[in-house]
Amino acid sequence: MRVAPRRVARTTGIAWTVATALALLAPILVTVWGAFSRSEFYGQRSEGAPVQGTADLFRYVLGIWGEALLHSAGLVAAVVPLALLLGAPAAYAFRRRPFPGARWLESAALAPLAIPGIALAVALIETAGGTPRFLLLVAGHLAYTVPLVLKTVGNALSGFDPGLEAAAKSLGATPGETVRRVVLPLLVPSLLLAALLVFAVSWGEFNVSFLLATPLLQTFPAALYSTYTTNSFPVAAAATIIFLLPVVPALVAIQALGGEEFHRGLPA
Amino acid sequence: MKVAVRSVSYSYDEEPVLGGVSLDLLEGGTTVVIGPSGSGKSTLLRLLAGLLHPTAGAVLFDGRDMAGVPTEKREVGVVFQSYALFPHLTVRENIAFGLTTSRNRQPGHEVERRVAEAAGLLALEALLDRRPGELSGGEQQRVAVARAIAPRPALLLLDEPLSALDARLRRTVRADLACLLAGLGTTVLYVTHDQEEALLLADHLVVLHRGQVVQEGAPLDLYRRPADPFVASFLGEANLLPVHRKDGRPGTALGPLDLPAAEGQQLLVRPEDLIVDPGGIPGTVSESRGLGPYDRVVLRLAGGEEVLAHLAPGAALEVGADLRVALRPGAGHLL
Repeated sequence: MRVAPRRVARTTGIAWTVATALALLAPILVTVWGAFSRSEFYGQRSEGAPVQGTADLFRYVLGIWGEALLHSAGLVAAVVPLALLLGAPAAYAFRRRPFPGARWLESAALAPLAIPGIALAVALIETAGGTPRFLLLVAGHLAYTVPLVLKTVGNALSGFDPGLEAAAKSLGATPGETVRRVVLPLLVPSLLLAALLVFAVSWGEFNVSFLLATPLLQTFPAALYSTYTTNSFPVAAAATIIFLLPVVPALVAIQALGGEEFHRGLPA
Repeated sequence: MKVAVRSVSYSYDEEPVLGGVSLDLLEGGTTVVIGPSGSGKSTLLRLLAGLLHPTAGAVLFDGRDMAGVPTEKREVGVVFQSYALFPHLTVRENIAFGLTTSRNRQPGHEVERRVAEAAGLLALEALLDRRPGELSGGEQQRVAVARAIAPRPALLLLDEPLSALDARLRRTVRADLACLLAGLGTTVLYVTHDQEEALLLADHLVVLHRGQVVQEGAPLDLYRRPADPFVASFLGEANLLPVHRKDGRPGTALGPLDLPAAEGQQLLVRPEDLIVDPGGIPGTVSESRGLGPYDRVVLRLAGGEEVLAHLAPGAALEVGADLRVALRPGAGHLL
């Protein structure tokens, strides 16, 4: 029996995609199962920890790591707006007011993404060790997130006709009016996408946060690490689920924005 | 508004784009600037709009030097080649944009009235709630014009506004645009590379070549009496026949000339200036094509020169046929 090669290619493609998605999702599924199932498989319990699958387990986790959760929330609340405020105008300058060397500088601004967290953390402590730790954490997170804003907003700017800004001016709009009525509305999808990416990265950032953490100032991912090393699997699993709760909607939103929504309103 | 360009030069990256252009726009009429791509015509338009700044010379609006006056403070309207419609706004909001900015903010009822007026002039009433992405090319073009004229600019600048349309649509839109511009009574600068568009729309025609004005004047004058071979061939199809002396009289491949002509000059013969004439110069048809309104015929003359003729349709000439042609009386122009 002959099978059309196109169908084979299509089936292989789908199988590949599903396998990749499952491989990425498997650890999360196992974690959820670990937190909720009453299986004896994960028999060992740490002293004083409640049983799997109960609300008590989650209350217990919040009890020991609630403060870390608040620190992470505070950090994200500072990092997301700051990354946008720094990144978006810079992206605009790179794409709309190019100066000699702008392309090089824009590429160089992406470099922090490739620097190991430990190197960045050490660099921050070396140069500004006396600064309050929370500010150092914010700085470390900005180094990883501003490049994302630069890239996302920069690409959106390249996607729309610079003639739109000239048109606004020719219709009597001051530079401020042009930004407010033309540039910003057209950048909304990319700004939202950038905010969600920054949120996802900052919320889950471990390296810098772990190395800059003090006993009194830990972020939730750093706390997760101690949970994994010292507590039982069910406790770690419950903590992971709490960690994932805000990430999932953010990821779904990123997916939605990255698709059709992102292009709506832009010229064909 | 009186618009004057005085010895304006503009260079981009050390490359001269415009080299000392001086020009007066026809007040209340349409000045068409025509030139091939790279001639600097769009640059000239952007200099008037204030989107670029001259490296030397001055742009004067009613005698006032516009140096340092930003685009948003100039009373211009611009129709861009790409239309540059705001994709996030409806047609209504696009047209209203120029009536709601700090240069020319109008009260709500006036905005509504002027949007309706501009929409009426361009037959956009049914499309006011659509977004640009939902419109055809011709509709987008009309929105771009409506948006530019709604604030009633003292100077309307159009940058190849029809070049994105297909040939058929361009023909109808061109005619509508000609009526509209004539009715507005605004000073208009219209930039194009299309000679038909230029001849149809211009009250005053300016030919730009390599950053210089090579000729300006009434459009038909330029077509009939171009200053040089470039203008001659840019404004239409042209036979340029070298003048030589024979028996002490000047002549061309089409026979002796009654004009005082010298060797080295050229005779411009437009294809429609050749007529079939049994007493004319003999030639052989080397190409023939009926185009509807006329037959496009290439004729090889006895001397070896080829001439292009637009002959009355229906002759159905075959390649290789013999044909005698003559210059229409009074036609021909010496360069």
